[in-house]
Amino acid sequence: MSWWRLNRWGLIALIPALAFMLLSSSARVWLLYTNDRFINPRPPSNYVQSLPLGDSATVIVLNVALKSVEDVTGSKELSVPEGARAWLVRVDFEAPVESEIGACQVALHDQHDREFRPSPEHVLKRKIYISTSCDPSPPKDAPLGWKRPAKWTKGWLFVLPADAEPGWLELGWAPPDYIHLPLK
Amino acid sequence: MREIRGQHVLVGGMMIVALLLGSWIMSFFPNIDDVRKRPFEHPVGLGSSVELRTGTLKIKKIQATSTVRDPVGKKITTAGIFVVVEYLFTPRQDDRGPRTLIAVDDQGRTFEGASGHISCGTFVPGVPSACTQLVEVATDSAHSGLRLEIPAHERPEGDDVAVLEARELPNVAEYQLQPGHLATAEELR
Repeated sequence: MSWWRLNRWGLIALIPALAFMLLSSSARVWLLYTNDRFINPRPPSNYVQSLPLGDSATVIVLNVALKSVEDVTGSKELSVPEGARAWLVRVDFEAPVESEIGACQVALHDQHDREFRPSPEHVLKRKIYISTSCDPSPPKDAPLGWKRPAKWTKGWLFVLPADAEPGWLELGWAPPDYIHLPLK
Repeated sequence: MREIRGQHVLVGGMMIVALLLGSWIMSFFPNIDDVRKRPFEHPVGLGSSVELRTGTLKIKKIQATSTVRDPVGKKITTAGIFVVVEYLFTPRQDDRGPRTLIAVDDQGRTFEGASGHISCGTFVPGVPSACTQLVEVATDSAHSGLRLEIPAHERPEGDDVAVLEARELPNVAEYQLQPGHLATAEELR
């Protein structure tokens, strides 16, 4: 009896064993390296995001729409260095008042898919703090326990090289899902 | 029966010899962790540029001082020496860029970071940022020059590192730190 024939069942069992080994190591790579990045683009309407909150979790449902994209390089309030342009991107949000909108990550991508973070500190003449998150800033005279409205508008200031054009906006709370909002 | 037992002993002995031989051969190969952590070094000089994984780095100035003043006017002193490196960094793809400065002296001692250490601010791809990085070293470290390492991002392990051999460190009485900002036309010259 040949060696192949003698070990045929072992050889047959080896194929699924190797397949499972490959799958389990892929799952490890997935969990370690990809699951903590924003890799799943979602449309801006009826966006559902589950957020961990200590021992529990919350689910937010959002509607997001582009309000305006404006080149504000010439604004008197800004000092934009040579070779760069400043862009103000404004976005309308809508979410139930009871939903907790935590801190989000915002990034603008240009036509070359370069990623830009809001950077008002680079161009604002007055050194003031501006939130770069998605939740609305409370008004100056907001009472204690102020609750955000169901609809609000948020704007971010981006600095881009002069040759870059705004392409799309990335809004993410917890990876891997994020809102993909085209800027044209 | 005795012949079969003899064969088993022979096979067992050969396996042990093969394992010992394999172990001895493996000792000549580099450790996998050492290979993984080995940085990709790129020599750079004062006034010259180097391409790193995250962008382009140009060294502008290196100075030594025992006193720095931070952007809000707070005075920081050291019993050692602050090595201050000014450079321009143009990120390539996103807001990743150098986050630390490491100094190695001729005795092999490694120094990293300093109180009052300052970052470059938010990086803007395609637009040069003017950065200042500090590292605090021992007084006897700077006599025979220092090897300064600027990693492409957070850590040097397994990543591009700009390596600058600083033979001379011009001394200044006090250094005024500036917050990280986008480079002005004057700074780009």
